[in-house]
Amino acid sequence: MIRATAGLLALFAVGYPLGLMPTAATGLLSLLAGTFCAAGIIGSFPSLVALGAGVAMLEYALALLPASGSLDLVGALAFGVALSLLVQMVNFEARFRGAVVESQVVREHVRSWMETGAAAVILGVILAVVGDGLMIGLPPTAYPALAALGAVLVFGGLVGGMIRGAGPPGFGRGEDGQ
Amino acid sequence: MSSRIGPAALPWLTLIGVALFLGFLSGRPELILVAVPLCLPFLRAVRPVARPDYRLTHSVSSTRLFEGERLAVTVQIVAGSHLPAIELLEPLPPSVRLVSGANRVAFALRPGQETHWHYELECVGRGRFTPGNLFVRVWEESGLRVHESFHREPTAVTVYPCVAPLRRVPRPRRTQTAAGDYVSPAFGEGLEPGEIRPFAPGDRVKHVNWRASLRLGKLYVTQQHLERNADIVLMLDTLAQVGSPPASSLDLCVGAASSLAGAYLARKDRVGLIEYGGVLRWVRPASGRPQLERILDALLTAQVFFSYVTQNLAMVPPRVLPPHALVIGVSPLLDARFLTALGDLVNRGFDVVLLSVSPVDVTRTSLACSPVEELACRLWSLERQEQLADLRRRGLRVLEWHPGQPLELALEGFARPWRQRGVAA
Repeated sequence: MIRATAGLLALFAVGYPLGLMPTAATGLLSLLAGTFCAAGIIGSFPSLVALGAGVAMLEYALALLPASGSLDLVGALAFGVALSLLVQMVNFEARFRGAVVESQVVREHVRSWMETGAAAVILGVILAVVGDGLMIGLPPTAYPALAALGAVLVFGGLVGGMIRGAGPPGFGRGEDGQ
Repeated sequence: MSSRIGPAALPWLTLIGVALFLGFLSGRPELILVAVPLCLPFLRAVRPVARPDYRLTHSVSSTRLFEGERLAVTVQIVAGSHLPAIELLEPLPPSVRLVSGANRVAFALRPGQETHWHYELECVGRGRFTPGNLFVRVWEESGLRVHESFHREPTAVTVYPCVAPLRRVPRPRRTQTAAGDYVSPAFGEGLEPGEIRPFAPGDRVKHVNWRASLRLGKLYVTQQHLERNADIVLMLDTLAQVGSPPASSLDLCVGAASSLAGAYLARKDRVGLIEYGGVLRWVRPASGRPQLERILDALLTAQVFFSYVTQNLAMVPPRVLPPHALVIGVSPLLDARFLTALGDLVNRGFDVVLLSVSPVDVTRTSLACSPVEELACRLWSLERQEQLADLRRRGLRVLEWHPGQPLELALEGFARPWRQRGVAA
C-alpha cells in the first residue's frame, strides 16, 4: 500500500513539470527521474529515490524558466509535499525491510506525514504571503553569490552527513548501539 | 543508548540543498517553496529530544530441550514514553529455525502501553545458545533520528541430542556382576532354565525336574541362568566430519550415540563414553538416569578438534574402559586413526562393534546433483563397501547406517534374541 502510494507520488512528481512545459528536455529528465524513482521504490533505496527527486526538481526548474512572473503557489507546494512524502515513504519501507510491522506503526507514520504535509502547506502559504519581497532588493549581480551559497549548503550537507556517521549500524552487526 | 541521525538524512539534506540552489540559480521562488516540505521533517529530527523510555522483559518456555522440540519466546514491552516505532531484533543462532512469528518486529506504543511479542523456534541442532540479547531501535516519526540500544537478558538454553527409542541393540558377549537383562552363563537364581544335573544336598525342592527324575529313577534339578547387566562403552569419532551442522556426520554420530546410550541405560547396563579425537574426553560407565544426562551433556559439546597427534587409548583408565565391556565405535570412518584404535581394542580382547555412519549420503545431500559428483559419490561408496567388507573379514562386527533410514534398521543385524546366538560367554 505504501509502495503503491509512493509510486503515485513519484508519477505526480515527474509528470507535473512535464505538464507545465512538455519539451524534449523535460521529457528526457522526467524519464530519468521516473527510472530512478521506480528503481528506488521497488528496491526500497531512499538514496535512489532522492536522486530521482533531485532530477525531478531540475526538471521542474527547467519547466519554470520560461514562465512569467506569476507565482505557482499551489503547484510548488503540491510538488514539494509530493517529493517529501515520497522520500519519507521509501525511507519507511527501507527502515523496516524484513521486519513485521504492526499496523499501529503505519498509522502513526501516516498521521505524522499528514501533519507534516499540512504544516508545510501552511508554512508555504505564510512564506509566500510575507516573503513576497524575498527577491526585492537583490540585484541580479547577487545571484551568482546566492548560487554559490546553495552549492555550499549542498556541500555542507554532504560533509555534515558524513561527520555524523549517517549510517547507524545494521542490526546484528555489533553491539555498538548501547 | 545512543542517538544519531539516520542514514536517510544525507540524501535528504542534499535534496534540500539542491532545491535551494536551483531556486536561487533560476530566481524562481517556487523552488524555495518546494524546499519547505522537505525542511520540516529534517528540522523535526535535529531538534533536541528526550530519550525514549521503555522496559523489556524476555522469557523462554524452557531451558532444556531435545533436538526437534520447540521453544516459545515471549518479550514484554512496556512503554514509559511515546514510542512511534520501536524496532526489535533478536539474532538467531544457526541451530534454531523460526517456525512461527518473527524475530524482527516493529511496534508503536503510547506511554504506559504494554504489548507482548511472541515467536516460536524449532531447535534443529544440539548445543547451547543464549536468547535474550536484543537489538532495540526507537525511530522518531520523521525516520531521520534513531535511538539504539542493546538489551541483555541472556537465558542459557540447552538443546540435547535426540534420544530415539531403540527396541533392539547389539548384545554384549560378556556380562558383568550386577543384575540386568542379559542371560549370563553363570547359574543361580534366574528365570532362564539351563542344564539339568543330579540333585545335591542344599538344592531347593522347587528346582527338582520331576519329569527327568521319574524317567531316570533319581532326583535331578534344573539349573537356572543368572540375568546380568553389561558394561557398554560408546566410542565417538571426533577426528573428522563431513557436511554442515545440524546434519553433519558428527551430528549423526552424536544422535546415534545418544540413542544407544538411552537404550542400554534402559536395560540397566552401565554405559560410558569416550570421545576420540584431537582431544580425548570420557565419561565413566555408570547406570541410571543421571548417567544419561552426563552422557548427553558430554555429547552436547562434542565437536571435531583436528590434531596430527594420535591419541593413545592406553591413556584411558580401566575404570573408564572396564574389562569385558562391549565397545561400540560410532564413526563415519573418515580418519584411519579411529580404525587403528578399534583394532587396538580388539587385540586387547574387548568385544568391539563398529557402527559406521555413511558419510557418502551426508556429502551427497550437501552437493549439487551433477553427474560428476554423483559418480564420485558412487566410487566413494564402493570404496567404503570394500573397506567394511575387509573389516568384517578381520573379525570386527560392523554395522553401516545410512542416515536416510532408521537407526534401528541398521542395528537389526546384531540384535537377534540370545537363543539364536547362544548364551553370552
